Parts: sequence; structure tokens; C-alpha cells
Amino acid sequence: MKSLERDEVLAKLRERIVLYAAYHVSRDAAEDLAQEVLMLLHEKYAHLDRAEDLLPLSLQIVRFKIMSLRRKAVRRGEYSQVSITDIPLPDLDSNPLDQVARKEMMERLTRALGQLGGRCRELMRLKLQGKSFPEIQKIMGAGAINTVYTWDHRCRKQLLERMGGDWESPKR
Amino acid sequence: MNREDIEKLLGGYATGTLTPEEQQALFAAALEDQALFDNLAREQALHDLLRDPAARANLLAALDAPRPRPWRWLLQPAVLTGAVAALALVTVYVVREKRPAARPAAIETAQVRQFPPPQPAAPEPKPEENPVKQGEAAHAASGAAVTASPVVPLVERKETAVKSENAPAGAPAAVEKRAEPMKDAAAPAPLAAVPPEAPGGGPATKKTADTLVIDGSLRKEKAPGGVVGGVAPGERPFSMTRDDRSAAVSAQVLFYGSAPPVQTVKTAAERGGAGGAGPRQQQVTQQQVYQALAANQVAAKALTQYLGVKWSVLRMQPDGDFTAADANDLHAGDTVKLRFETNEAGYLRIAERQPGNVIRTVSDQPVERQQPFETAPVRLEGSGSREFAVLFSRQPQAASDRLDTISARADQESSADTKERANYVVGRADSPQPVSFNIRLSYR
Repeated sequence: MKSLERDEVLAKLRERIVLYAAYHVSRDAAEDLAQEVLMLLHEKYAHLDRAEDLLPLSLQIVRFKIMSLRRKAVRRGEYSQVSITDIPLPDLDSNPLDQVARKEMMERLTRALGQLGGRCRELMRLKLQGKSFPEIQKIMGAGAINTVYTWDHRCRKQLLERMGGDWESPKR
Repeated sequence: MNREDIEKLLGGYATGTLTPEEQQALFAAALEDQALFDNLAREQALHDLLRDPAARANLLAALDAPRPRPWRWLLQPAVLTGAVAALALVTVYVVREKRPAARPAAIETAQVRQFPPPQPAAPEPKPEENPVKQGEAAHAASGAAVTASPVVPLVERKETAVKSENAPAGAPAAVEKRAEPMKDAAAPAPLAAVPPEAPGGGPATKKTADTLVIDGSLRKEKAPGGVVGGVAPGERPFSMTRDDRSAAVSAQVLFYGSAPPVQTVKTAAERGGAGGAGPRQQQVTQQQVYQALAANQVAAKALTQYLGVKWSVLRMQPDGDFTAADANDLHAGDTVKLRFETNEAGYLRIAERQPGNVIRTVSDQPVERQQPFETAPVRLEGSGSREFAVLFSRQPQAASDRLDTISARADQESSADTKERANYVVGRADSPQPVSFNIRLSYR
């Protein structure tokens, strides 16, 4: 994987981004979104050439782009036409929608964490404390690292189920 | 690392737990696998949230908080109170279910029976009509006391379920009066004859055969003293059987049979002590005793004169007073004296039989009816016994009457009252012989 050239990584990224975005937005919008992400990576993050750097960065850009498209659609009244006088002027410096979304997500996540079992809670605590999986293995006395992977996989699954199947609010 | 193992790394992406090697493996796989890429893209929201240190701190605080337990609601005060109340109710129910049905307290009731006046032929006594009203009327006329009336109150102990023991004193309902036909003499018909009150004070409690009750209680009492005369030593002083009832009139009754004073007996209710409103007494005239005895046919002979002696042992108390004591419970060092009382005026001779059959006259003097006579105090030393001979007659005894030959006579009746701690010895009415008996005081 290391031997992959930057162009090769970006090509694969574009393919994944288009397919992922097409699930949330239209196909045309998804291709436009992927093109915007790649242009951003090419213009602003030209110094990054590794997949482990480009992929999370592209995921974050894709998420922001999708959220921006949704906000724009709402703003344009694509989902519901409302009077212009009823629309409050947006404050571009702060993003109340993001704040509300973060707050809601925090509340749901907190409730879901409280419903987890003892091992999952302990595992989640160690993860939030910044411990790596090898460190967690030692702390929890797991015999193998795969055991910790399995524990974390099950705990993530339980947490996701308790949050309704998605980290973010389903309304969004 | 296969596909499944790489997928397990998804959980570490959001929290930044993955090592560089893990990240490289995960991202390389995500570039090749659209599903993994999609899952990774979904983790991006959590990843972005957890990049905020404040959000991490909040979630850590939430994890450190005590986990809400499903049963925590059980600790609510209202729930606890309800649970305790329910448990108490269940306990009470179970206890009441397991406890046997409350048995009515055994009480004593008094039945007022009516008997026809004594008849020479002494046929079967028949109950008078509507005797209850008569008995109640007589009872109500005197309040708690029953005065002279044509009916004879016979107090019988009987365990019934009727509450009476705890009835307030003075309540006539405590004494159940019923008219029942007098049973056959041979049958166990309870009969209560009330003797006069003892001169020594206190209600006279008498003893008769097992069915003859004086104070409302049906009991057989053991002789308190060592009566030698009248009954053989060691024999129960009054152990007459039903077959003997033709002559089975207590010596106590016979003793008082010659004296007709109005006497007082306690009812069963007041002996029970319940009520607390003061003793309620029934005064029964000797005439009623006569009628009771006559109705019993067997006791008809008691109407005639009997010569009797009542004796008891008095023991000196630390304060110097002498009180009645059990003649069978004497100890060395006790200072005792004998007390005699006769039911007729006569002559009483008392002598002590000393070792070597030496007779020492203690007293030889006339006595009046129901006038107690007491011997000089005697201190009991060591362990042994002292024996006295008693002779009582209406006429002065001749000097030839030897006290050392006195023995139990078959024509005498004797009985004892443990409550009164007194002994009664009476002679037959048709016997010209004086009343004579021996007293043995054993001590150790």
C-alpha cells in the first residue's frame, strides 16, 4: 500500500467518495462533491502523498461538503418553500446548526454509553483517554490484541445500536 | 490481517486509538473496499466530535458516573414503604392463618339450681318451672349478693365458652343461672353447699366430695395436716368415692351444719380477679345450705346435729404473730401452737403423747361454740414428731377416759381445707361417743 503513488491514491479516493456521496446526495452532486474534494487536496494539501494522510482528510472534507450541500438545499428552499421574512439571517461566524447537532450527538452518545456493559465502558474510557489498542490490551489483561479488537468491535456495534444505527441524528 | 480483522479497527478510528500500522492497514483496505470506506466515512462524525477535548472530557465524566441500575427504583422511599407494608400484611395474614382458632377461655360459671324442699322420702328432685327468672330475680334483688330465697343457689364450676372470667365485677351476667334438673345422687351432680364464714376471718373455703363444691370450685384437696383420727395416717383424709356418697358429706359441712350463721362466699368471677370493680360476694343463708343438702338426699342427715372440732396449726412468724400453717410443712426451729374450735359448747381435752407413751395433759377445759382455743406455743427442736390426742364431748369426760388409747374411729368424718389450712373432724349424729382423734406433727 505504501508503494501506491499519490495519483493512484487520489484515483481510488475519488471512486470511493463518489459512491459514498451518491448514497447521501444525487449522483451528479456526488461527482461534483468528489471533484471538489480532489481539487482541495490538490491545491491545499499537495504535500500529502500517503494514503493514511489523504484518506481521513478526504473523509472530513466529504462530510463537510455533504453538510454544506444540505444546508444550501434548505437555504434555497429545495425541501420546503418558506417566506423570506421567516428565515433568520445566518451568522457566518458561528454555526448554530453544527452546535445543535453536536449537542444532540453528545446527549445521545452519553445516554448510549450509560447503557453499555462494564467491559465496554472500561474499553471506551481507555479509548477516550488516548490509549492505543496494545496499551488497552495490557491494561485489561487481554491475551491477544485480536481479543481487544473483538471487544471493541462488539462494543462499537452495541453503542451504534443504542444510538439508532447512526452516530449522527437520523434527521440530518 | 484479513478483512474481518481490519473491519474491527473501525472502532479505533473515531477515538484515535489506532496505531500508525493499524491506520495504514485500515485506510488501505478502505480504499479497496467501498463498504469499509462507507463505514469509515460514517465514523467521521464521531471522529470529528471526539477531536474536541471538551467533548472527550464530558464523555469520560459520563462514563465515570455510577451506572444507573435497573433496580434503583426499588430504593425509592415510597416503594420501600409500600413493600414493608405489604410484607407486614402478608406476615399478619400468614400468622393468623397458621394460628389455631382461638379457644374460648375457660371460665367458671355458676348455675343456680332449684330443688324442692326436703322430703322425708327423698324422691328424685325435680326442677321448678322457670327457675332462671327466680334465680335472676333473687340475684338482682341483692345486686351482687344472693340473699335468702326459696331457691338454693348451687355454685358449680363448669368450663364453657361463655365469657365470664373477664366480665366486670358486679355484672350479674358473670354468673350464668340455669335451671337444670337435679341429677341422681349416684350421678356426678355438682353440688355446692356453703358453710359459714370461718371465725378467723376470710371466706370459709370448704371441701366436700369431688362433686361437692363450697366456693364454686370443684376440686379434691389433700389434707394439709397430719390428721390421725378419723382417717388412717397417710390416707387421704377425704377420699370418699361416689359410692360412699350416701355418707359422704364433708366433715367441714357437717361441722358447720349445726350453726346457721349467714356466711359469705366468693363467686367464681371474683376469684378470677378480673373486673377490678371490687369483690362481689354472694351471701347465702344456712337455710339454703340446708335445702341444698336436703335436696341431695344424701346430705339430709346433715340437718341434724353433729359434734365437730376444727383444728389447725399456727406457726409464729418473724414479727411474732401466729398464722395458719401447713401441718405437713413444719421445720425444726418453728414455734407452733394448735388452735381448736368446736361447733358446740362442750369439753375439750388435749394431751401430748410423749416418748415412752407418757401422756401429758395440755388442756382440759370447757369450750364455747366457735370460740377458738389455742395451746401454748411449742418450739420444735431437732427432727422428729409430736403427737397430740384430742377428745371433745358435750359432757365432761370422766377421769377414766384415757387419752393414750385414742385412735381413729370409724364413725367419724374428717376433712381438710388446704386453703384454710384447717382440719375438720365430726362425729356421727347417732353416735354417743365423743369426738376423738390424734394429731401428729412431723418436722425436720
